Amino acid sequence: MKSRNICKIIILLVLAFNVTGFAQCNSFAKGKCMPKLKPYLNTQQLCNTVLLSGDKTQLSSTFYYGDEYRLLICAEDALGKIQLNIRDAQNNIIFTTKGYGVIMWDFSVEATQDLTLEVVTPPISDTETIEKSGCVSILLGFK
Amino acid sequence: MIFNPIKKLIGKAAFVSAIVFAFYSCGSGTNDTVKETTDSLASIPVPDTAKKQNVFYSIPSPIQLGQFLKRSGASYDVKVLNPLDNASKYSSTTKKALNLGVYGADLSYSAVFNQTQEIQSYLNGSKKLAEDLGISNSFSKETIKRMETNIANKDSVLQIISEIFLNSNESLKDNDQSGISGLVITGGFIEGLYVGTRVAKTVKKNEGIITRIAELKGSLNNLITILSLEKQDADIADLINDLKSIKEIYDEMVVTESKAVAKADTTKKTMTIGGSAHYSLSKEQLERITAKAESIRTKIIKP
Repeated sequence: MKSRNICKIIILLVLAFNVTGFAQCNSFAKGKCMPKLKPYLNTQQLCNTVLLSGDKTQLSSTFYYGDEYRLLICAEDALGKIQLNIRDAQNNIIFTTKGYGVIMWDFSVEATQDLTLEVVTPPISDTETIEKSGCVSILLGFK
Repeated sequence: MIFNPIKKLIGKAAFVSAIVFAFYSCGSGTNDTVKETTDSLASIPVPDTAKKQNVFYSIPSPIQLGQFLKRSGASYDVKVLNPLDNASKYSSTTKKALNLGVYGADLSYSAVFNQTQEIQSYLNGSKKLAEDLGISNSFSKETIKRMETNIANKDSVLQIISEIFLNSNESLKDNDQSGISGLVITGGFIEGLYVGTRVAKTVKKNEGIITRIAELKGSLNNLITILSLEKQDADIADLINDLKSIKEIYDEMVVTESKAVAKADTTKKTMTIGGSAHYSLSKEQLERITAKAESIRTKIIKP
């Protein structure tokens, strides 16, 4: 019973955190990531989330022949070295890279195709006692 | 050192945190997911390995299609735009949201073709609907002033339009109105498809435009998914059915794709994703898509 009450209190605190957490992640994306998109135009959609250690998030999109794209992944440093995988329509990984904080690539496609951008955070290590969490934003620009 | 029970509780809390946040941020989670998890959290053990997967779907900006039409040699046609005097006639939230997307697409199309008068007019039309939807902050005095100052600079105008509509979508999500945001995106997509199919009729060398219309298949599927994740009120359900009627035609189309291959330059951080794709959209299928796009668009813009 005692642990259930503690759990409820923690959850209430977490819910309260999320109201401000959402705004914080929007600020994080707009302040630290959006300026890096220029001179590309944003796609008018912002994909932000909070990830824990070992989590992943995905963005599925059609990429059109003739357009040039900028892919920008921004993650809070606390999450460690994040991994970007690009998957084709058959879910095969066709490209993978890792980086801290910001991953940015400019690219084009030789034929219009559906791709999925997958961001994975490193798992919690044996020596860590508490899971890490932080904002992750996937931004797409085009021109 | 954190004791295991406390660590588990923190883990549970963090798990809930991720789910709730994902729901608020991009609309990728469903109401049901959040409700079930929070309601039953005390009784369902959350395994340490349990992870939330946030899956988002992206739709092309209306500016992308406008730019493509211009590159394809199309001329600007003011007659395809939704008349501005309709703006004051929309009474329901659904109509206002859909037509904010429509006006946004018309604004984008006009901006790509440097039509300064229509840019001003459709900016005002969009602002009016945004005010009605309670997101007038996206059309702040400073933003309007920036637009006026840079009206002759197409690149700046397109940047400002992109910022306005990104902020509008984010404001709606901030206010727990991601469904309304989905309607704005839908209005923009349908207007883009409508303009594209209309322009395809008037341009002599229209093969490229027809191919692009065919290539919108994937984005249409993503749009249907976005709307399907929202609360299913009658308006959204009706809209999904309309979009599915276009999807049925797209599903008849034969698409031949080769394997995608990424060629990356790790120094320059640039990449070309190779491969080929062929979309066999017949004349008859194009005509049916054109007719569907027109009927759905007519329904959307009708006051």
